[in-house]
Amino acid sequence: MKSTRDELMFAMSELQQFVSFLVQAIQNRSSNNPVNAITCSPSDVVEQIVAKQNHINKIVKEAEEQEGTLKEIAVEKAEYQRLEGEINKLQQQLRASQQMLESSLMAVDERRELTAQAKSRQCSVKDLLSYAHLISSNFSTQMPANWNEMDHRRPWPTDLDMRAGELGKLAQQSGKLSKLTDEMLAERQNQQAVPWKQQSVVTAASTVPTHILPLEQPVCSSPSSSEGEEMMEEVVT
Amino acid sequence: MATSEDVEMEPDAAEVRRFTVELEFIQCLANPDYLNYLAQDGHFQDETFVNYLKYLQYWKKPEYSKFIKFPQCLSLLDLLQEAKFREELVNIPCTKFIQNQQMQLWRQHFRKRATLVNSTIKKQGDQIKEEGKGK
Repeated sequence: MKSTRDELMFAMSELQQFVSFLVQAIQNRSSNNPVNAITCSPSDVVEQIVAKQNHINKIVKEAEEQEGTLKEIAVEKAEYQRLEGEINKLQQQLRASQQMLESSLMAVDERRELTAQAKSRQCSVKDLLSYAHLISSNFSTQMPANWNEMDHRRPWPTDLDMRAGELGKLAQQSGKLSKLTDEMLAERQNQQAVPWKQQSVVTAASTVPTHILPLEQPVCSSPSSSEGEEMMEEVVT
Repeated sequence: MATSEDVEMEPDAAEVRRFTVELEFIQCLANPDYLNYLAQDGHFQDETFVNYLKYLQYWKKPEYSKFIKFPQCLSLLDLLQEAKFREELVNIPCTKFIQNQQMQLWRQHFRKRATLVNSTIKKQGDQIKEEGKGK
């Protein structure tokens, strides 16, 4: 398919040819000796020229319309480029905000988890203070300032502590453990550590409300309470 | 073995006794020498005993742990759930190492606490100074 430009050029070259024919036809008519063997009359050539001119006018009109269309296309292209740039910018902003939202959501989830954990392990200020007093007054987590190598106090229950408690008594009753002698008791009283009997542990145990005792069966196949006591009697010895 | 004394006791008193006994036992686990004794006596090979140690983990809950005077026993109870740790406790150097670590922590806790208190006081002092300058 020929382009508009090629059609126009071809029509103009044809027009030029017809004009030259016309000039030659006029020359032949005016002179007695015809130079070229041109048989058609000038009027025919003029008709051809007029038809060709109309054709050229039509092509020019088409070309003008195409020029207008091209301009519109250029304008639309520029608009398209502009809109595409804006879309890219918005996409980048969307991705950035998506990342921010994801990180915020993750932070919120973590905080929610921590809050749930904290709520599940709630304890009152009174309990915290009483526990802090318990562990600090007995120096079980921190060495006393006046501690020396001869001091019997340790961050764990000593042999005498273990013998003086309920387990020790059970073992003594069953005869598997020797009774605390007077010397051992005197040594104990000389120690700065306070025996378990006088601890808030036993006092707390006697006042512990039953609703918090593990009344349900143990998770694993552990011995019953009486079997447990018997087992602990054996291990204490 | 249930004694007649237990049978005559009210259920509440029996529960309190069981509580006291279990509390004492779990705190005994803080003593590395006692752990060594248990290991050498073969108690850690007994499945019932191992299950009992697993059962004692309820003491980690706040409503029970507030009665524990030697909180290190809970860390050792966690370690006792591992079979490898129970096997190693037979060796005296292992228990000596645990003992030394406990003693070091006991000694250093005083120093660390003093450092923490001093740094907190200093930070608060700096904050007060800055607020004063701002005004």
